[in-house]
Amino acid sequence: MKAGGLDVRTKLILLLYTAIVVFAVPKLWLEVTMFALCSLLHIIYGSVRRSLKYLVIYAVAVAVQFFLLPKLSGAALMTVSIFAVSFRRLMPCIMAGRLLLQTTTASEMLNGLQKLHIPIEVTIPLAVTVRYIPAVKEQLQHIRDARRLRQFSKRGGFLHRALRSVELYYVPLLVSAVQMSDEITAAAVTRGIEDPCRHTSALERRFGTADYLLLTLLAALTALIIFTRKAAVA
Amino acid sequence: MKTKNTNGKDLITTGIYTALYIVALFAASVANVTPLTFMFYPAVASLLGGTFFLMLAIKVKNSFSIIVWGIIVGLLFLVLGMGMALPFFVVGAVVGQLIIAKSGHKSLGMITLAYIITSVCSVGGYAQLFFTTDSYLKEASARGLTDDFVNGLSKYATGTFLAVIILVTAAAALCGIMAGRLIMKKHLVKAGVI
Amino acid sequence: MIRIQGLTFTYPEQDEAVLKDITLDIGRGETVLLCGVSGCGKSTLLRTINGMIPHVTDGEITGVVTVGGAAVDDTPMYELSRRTGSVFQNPKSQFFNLDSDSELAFAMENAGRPSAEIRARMEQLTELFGIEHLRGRSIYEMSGGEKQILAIASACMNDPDVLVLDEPTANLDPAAIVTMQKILAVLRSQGKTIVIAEHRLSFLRELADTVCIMQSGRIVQRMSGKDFFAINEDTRISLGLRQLASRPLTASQKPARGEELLCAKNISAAYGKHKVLSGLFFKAYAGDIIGVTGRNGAGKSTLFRLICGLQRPSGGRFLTGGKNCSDKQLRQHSCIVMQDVNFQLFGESVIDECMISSDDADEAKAEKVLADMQLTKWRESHPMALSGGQKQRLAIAAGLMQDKSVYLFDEPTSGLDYQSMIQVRDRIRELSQRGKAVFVITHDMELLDMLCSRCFFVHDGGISEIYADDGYSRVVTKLLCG
Repeated sequence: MKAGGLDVRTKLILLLYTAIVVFAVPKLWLEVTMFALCSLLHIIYGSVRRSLKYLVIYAVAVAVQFFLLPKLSGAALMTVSIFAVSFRRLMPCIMAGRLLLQTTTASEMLNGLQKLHIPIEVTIPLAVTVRYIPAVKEQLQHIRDARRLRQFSKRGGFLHRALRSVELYYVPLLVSAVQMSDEITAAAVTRGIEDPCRHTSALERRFGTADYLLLTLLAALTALIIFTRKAAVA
Repeated sequence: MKTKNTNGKDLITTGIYTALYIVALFAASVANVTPLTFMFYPAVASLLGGTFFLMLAIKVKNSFSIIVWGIIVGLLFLVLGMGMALPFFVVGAVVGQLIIAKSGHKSLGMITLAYIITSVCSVGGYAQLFFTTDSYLKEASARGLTDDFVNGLSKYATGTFLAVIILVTAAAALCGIMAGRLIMKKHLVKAGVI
Repeated sequence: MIRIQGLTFTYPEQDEAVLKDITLDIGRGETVLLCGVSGCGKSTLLRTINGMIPHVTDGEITGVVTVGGAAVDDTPMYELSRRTGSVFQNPKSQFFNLDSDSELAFAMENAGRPSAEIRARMEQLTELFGIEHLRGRSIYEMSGGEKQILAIASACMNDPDVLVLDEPTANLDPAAIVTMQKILAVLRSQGKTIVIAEHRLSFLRELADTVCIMQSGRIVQRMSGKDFFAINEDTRISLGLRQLASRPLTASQKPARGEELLCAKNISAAYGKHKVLSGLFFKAYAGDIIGVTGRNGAGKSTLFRLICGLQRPSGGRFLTGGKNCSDKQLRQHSCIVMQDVNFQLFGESVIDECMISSDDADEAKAEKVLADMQLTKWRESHPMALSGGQKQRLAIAAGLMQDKSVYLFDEPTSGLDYQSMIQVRDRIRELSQRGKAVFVITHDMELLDMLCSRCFFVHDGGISEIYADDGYSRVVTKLLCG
């Protein structure tokens, strides 16, 4: 993480902005701009290879929209367009989301959300969710391992066995959930999570030049959008 | 004397069952593989996630856990690029919460209804993807796309197809809760977990 | 510092009180050890001290508990947590955060301390405890021992006066226990009041000022640390306690020489480019009980996965009965009893658990297996409702139903008292007598001593095989503690 990094709130704003704008204002130039912006940020943060990979995928999708789609029709058109257009439009947002997740620690996130006055009734469950998802994946792995070592009888029809199969995953996950719930509560409560005072963060970040720069950029973009709309109507 | 104002245990339990629900959502994404079936993603997701919703509704008896669940799942969609699903999830969750709160967390029927509504609302969010593609391409049709496409898309995006998706999702949500109930009775009660 | 008077506590829906009329005074700076068989109430007593009872856990309580002059039931939990730090026994569930730095900062962040203060304290504690290697790491990548050390450090961040530890060494290897010992010594020298409940007692020899032995909810004996560690073997065993000193192991098992069940030839395992194990040659015979030990992260789990066919070796091959065998065949012959048995029980009832593995509904066989594992009484119970030891037995029963020949146990005795450990040992011996080959991953030196005739010490990407007759006890202890 670079020292001059962005504040959590700026990244959140970027994410929301991307999500709203790309879908509210369905113009290609806007989409490409947002994509370019997010890619640039990723590169600044150091993940060059990944960004280039996404860039290639994006460029191909755009090319497909312009050159291939007009030549298709019917079901083929539907199918290809869904991948080349609908999913592609998700990309700027996905990149903004990635940026947020990969460059922010959980603690920073919590603190940022608190600063935005989001109540702890939301931030704590959110933190727990994030913390528990990898644990569930680990548990699933254990279950998978155990099942590979087990022979199950071939009795019962296909449907019966398929259903049983799925059922088998739920039970251990739920039993573990109850146990872990108690234990995580113990850990959190004995470290004062219910403290009503404002929680601080070990990493204090304030709005810096990078943040102001990005926000100004977004403001300028918004102005441009409004301007072009007015121009189009006129 | 117990501190009643902020109950850490409830908040943590909410987070845990939401986490399980999200893992179920990931598991359901196998439905996204083929172009036809991915409109049914909300249905598969509702089916797999029903059990965890049920557990959440039963275990955490306060007046906002479902709303928080809705917010967190909505945020997940935001981060995955489908941000427009967020408001749908939240609205669905609020309605669901009101239903459950009124019936006092005990009535299975009400919980089922709440879940069906939230699941159906999520269809709205997911379908936005295609509605906006529709208008997007209308814009772009000046650049050389045939009207063929736009018409074809409209056919999908409205009318009976949508109604079918909604019905299937509602049915899947129902099955999801019923499966959860079955698992509860068959295993969890005996295991002493409920 | 801590006063407990006439404390009685009953969990909801239970008839018998878990704590019965306990009276205890713990002075400032004193280190108190609570010990006794499982279920004696030591964990519950700890929870009344750190405030989890009554604020988090429900139940009927009479009597008074004061910590540092404040009555526990009158003070809100978050205030109590500023003065009392807690460490629990399960490394996996103690953490609220995903990375070590966040976890360290957590308690102080919750208390609203300024961030400069938090950072300063983090550095101070890092130096004091010698935990530089734990900083800035993801919790999911840390070993059990590292996690527990992190847990203690996190609990100390707020500079609490009292530290409460509930079986902190349950899942630790001997090297990690030594580190924990050092940390506790440091805390003691700072004048902290420490209350610790434990099964593994030897590391507390120099640390405990007072020892309280509990039984069925009462403190039946209270003595000074010196006196306690001087009691003789018979008394200790009659009290159901684990060994008080790590003695050189005297292996009591003779190596078995039944038919060769498994042979490994030049096995290696790698995750991508990273080679974990290489050049493994070993054989396992019917009746063998092989201990598998080594530092955390050395590759014991990988070894297990290779042996039971869950992971394909990146080189070399396995043979059973002299013929090459695939990982699928290995899976058919192997049964793992995991550390958390919950993930491998799938039936609706105990008898169902046995029956789901057999096509031809061999109920007679199932009944016999259940009888052998002493589970007949729980025939209709749900597997998840059983106790830990019973679940272990059920997992073994399922293996027997499938006629598995190789059994692997992953830390079967962590957190168990003496009696339970003996029972595990007996089970494993039974399997050996039936002609199975058994591998046991364990940090428990006592168990190794009583059970294994051979030991695989996993280190530096390979294994060293150590036999009982060549003085393995000293070698193993030395290798583990570095």
